[in-house]
Amino acid sequence: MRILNLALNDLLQIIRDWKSFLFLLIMPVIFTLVFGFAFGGFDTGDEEVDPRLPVGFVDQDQEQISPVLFALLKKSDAIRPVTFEEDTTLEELERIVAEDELAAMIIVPDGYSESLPTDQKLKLIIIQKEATSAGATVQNGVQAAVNRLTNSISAAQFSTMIQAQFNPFGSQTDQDAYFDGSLENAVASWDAPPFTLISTQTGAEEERAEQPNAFSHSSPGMMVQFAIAGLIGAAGILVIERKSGSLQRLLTTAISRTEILIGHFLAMFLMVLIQFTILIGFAAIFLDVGYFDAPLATILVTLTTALFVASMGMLIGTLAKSEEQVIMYSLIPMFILSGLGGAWVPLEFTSPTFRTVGHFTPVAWAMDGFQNIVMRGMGLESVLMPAAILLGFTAACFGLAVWRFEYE
Amino acid sequence: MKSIDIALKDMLQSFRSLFAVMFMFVIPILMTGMFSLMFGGSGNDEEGFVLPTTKVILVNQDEGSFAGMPGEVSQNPEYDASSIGQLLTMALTSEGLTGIMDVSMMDSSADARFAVDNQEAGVAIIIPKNLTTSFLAPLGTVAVEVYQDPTLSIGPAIIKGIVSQLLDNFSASKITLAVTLEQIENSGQMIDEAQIQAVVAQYLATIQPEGQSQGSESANPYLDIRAPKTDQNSSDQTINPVAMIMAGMSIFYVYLTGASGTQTILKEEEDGTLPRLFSTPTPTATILRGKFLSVTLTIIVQITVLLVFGELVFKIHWGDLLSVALLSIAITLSSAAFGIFLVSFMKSTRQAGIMIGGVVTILGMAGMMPIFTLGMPNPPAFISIISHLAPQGWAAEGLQVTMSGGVLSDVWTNILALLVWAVALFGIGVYRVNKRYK
Repeated sequence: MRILNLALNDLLQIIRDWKSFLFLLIMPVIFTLVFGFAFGGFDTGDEEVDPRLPVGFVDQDQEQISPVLFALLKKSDAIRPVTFEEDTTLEELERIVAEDELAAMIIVPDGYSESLPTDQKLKLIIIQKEATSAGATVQNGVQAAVNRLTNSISAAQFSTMIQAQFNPFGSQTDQDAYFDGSLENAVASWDAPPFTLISTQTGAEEERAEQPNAFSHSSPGMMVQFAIAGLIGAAGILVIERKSGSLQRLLTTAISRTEILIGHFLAMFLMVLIQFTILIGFAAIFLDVGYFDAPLATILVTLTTALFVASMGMLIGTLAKSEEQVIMYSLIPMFILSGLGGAWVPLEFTSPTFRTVGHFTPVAWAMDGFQNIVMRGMGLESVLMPAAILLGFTAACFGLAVWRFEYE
Repeated sequence: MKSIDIALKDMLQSFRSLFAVMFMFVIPILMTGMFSLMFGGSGNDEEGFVLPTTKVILVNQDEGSFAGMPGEVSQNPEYDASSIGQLLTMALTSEGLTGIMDVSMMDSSADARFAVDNQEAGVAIIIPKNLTTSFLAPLGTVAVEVYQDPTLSIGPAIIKGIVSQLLDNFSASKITLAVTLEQIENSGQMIDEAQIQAVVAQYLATIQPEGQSQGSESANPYLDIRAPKTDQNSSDQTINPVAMIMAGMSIFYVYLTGASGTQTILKEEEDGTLPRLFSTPTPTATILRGKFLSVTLTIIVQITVLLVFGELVFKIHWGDLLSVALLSIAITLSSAAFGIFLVSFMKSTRQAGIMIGGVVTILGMAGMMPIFTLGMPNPPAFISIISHLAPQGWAAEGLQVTMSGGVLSDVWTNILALLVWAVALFGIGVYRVNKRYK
């Protein structure tokens, strides 16, 4: 009963401050939306909003093949060509790419069309920043279009050669016309090629939409980050209690040190649990994030993450001697754990070392647990390992907090 | 003179505090150092973004055989594969692709999907039973399935690009034959089955086996990839994560210093030294000036140390000295004013924790959005708008511009914007504090 009273008192102190709501609930929602949008959330279906990477297209060739290439590039799923005048200077084109106005610039050199049917093919010039994901995307997209172009030319050449065998052309004009007709036919065939690729993925994401739901990453990421950030208020209560002498007074009563610790821990745990419940409900209902697809798994990851965050709050509360230190001890782990754990940016965007080190942090395991549910569409079994590791981190933090509190 | 006395006393207290020193210098440097190690290099490294190697499971279920193809091809010794599925397998496991994908084989598509579900692989490529049969049939389409882990995006996108290009090569053969026959038909000429077989055989005799062409050339025969030449030697830093993280960390902690530095007003009020100061003939404005001066000088020291340390240890070239200096002054003034503004809304140090932590985190994250989305191929425009809603965003952008070789004319808008922020925040802060202590 004493423990409950202590926990309720702590919770009341947190809830009474309107800023707590702002920090614990409103901000995670805002940043979930911001990060979700940033990483491609909400496919509005608006055709005017083209998600493809814009690339410049400069036709210095001005012959029959370059418009065909442009048409093939326009069909790309990855890139969107934007035409530039052929007399735009190289310096200007390079500046546009260097200053990130466009992801890349494709230059069709003079004589390109003429060279393609020969063995001395000219190369397309691609200006792009090296070693970037945008660069890799552009290269893939252009390569696919060029392959289709050269294959179409080969098809037209073969078709013309066969026709000449069956029925020799009367003039060069007839032959050129036949070649052009074959080329047009071949390029059109790429609208529905005989061999295609179908892309599938596991569970929840596929059932919900063709495009991945970007909120499936930002929602758990921001939820965990702001749970840690929320410890500033909760852990601060312990510091204030110590500084104001309330703790000493409490210790003169019948309540034991263990009861005091558990009471504060319970308050933090309930605070984080309430925060998670509201944020999960919001994301599931309004952002279509699949937390409810595997309710038991969601409950398990939520509980173990909340336990970890609360135990870290206890550790911060027992380590910090002032409100200033509470800020430092909360914000620093928040930044380190969130950054390393992939709460901001998916770990696949980082280096292999970063990805490995990231999994030494509890946030990465919490993210794994939530992502197994909302992105991979998996169930309870898939979150047992993350939950067990989170409990391990909880035990470590809580043990240190108890040791520190007893020592004090 | 009194303002300077107050400022000096506050500064002395700040620099005597181990906590303050840790917060101002050690933590941002340590965090940058940690991220630098994680990204595997210092600020002048050109490693940048590293394309990930994706674990791929390949399931070849193709039951067809080239035995059904015209004699010239089925008997050609260059075709050491017996089916299209095998050709595709040879291409995907070729040496040229080893840095991009790490391929292992499986017999069952269900096992492959299970492995992807359990994160043992990022992608499973499932070749259907009828791939070769469809290749030999005149009509119809067939699809190769790429099953991916939905938490991954870059690796699977690259794999899909490669598989698509290989499939395009097979499609090209069918398209060539279809176009040839269709064009002959359109020209009004009738050809019989034997002639069609002859055309097919002639075509197949001319093409190169796909499996042997993949990965055999080191240079791209169709594309000439060039990096943009710019006048700035350090332009690569705009995409270098370590340089941007150092800039972001410095800005974040400078604004935190601004906020926690001015918190001494509240502390002095609670300790009773502020009311005592008011009992002397010292106007509120003088006290505030002293506090502002103290925080300003502290931040100047902090920002100078961080920039110099970044230059010397992380080899980050911050850019044109005059631009960086003026930008630093603007950042300093806006962060000190930000502190006064924030403190004017607090009643006690108890409130300070959540207020400072919350507001600095929120504005810091908003301002750093372009840094978070640094490696993204096509970041949406609203990212830039959001970052400009916070002074931290103008500061980060300014440093990014100078790092990429920008000069004063390129960053004057950032400097001006930061000064406007400083005046606005300082004005509101002073008005509110004056009102409180009147």
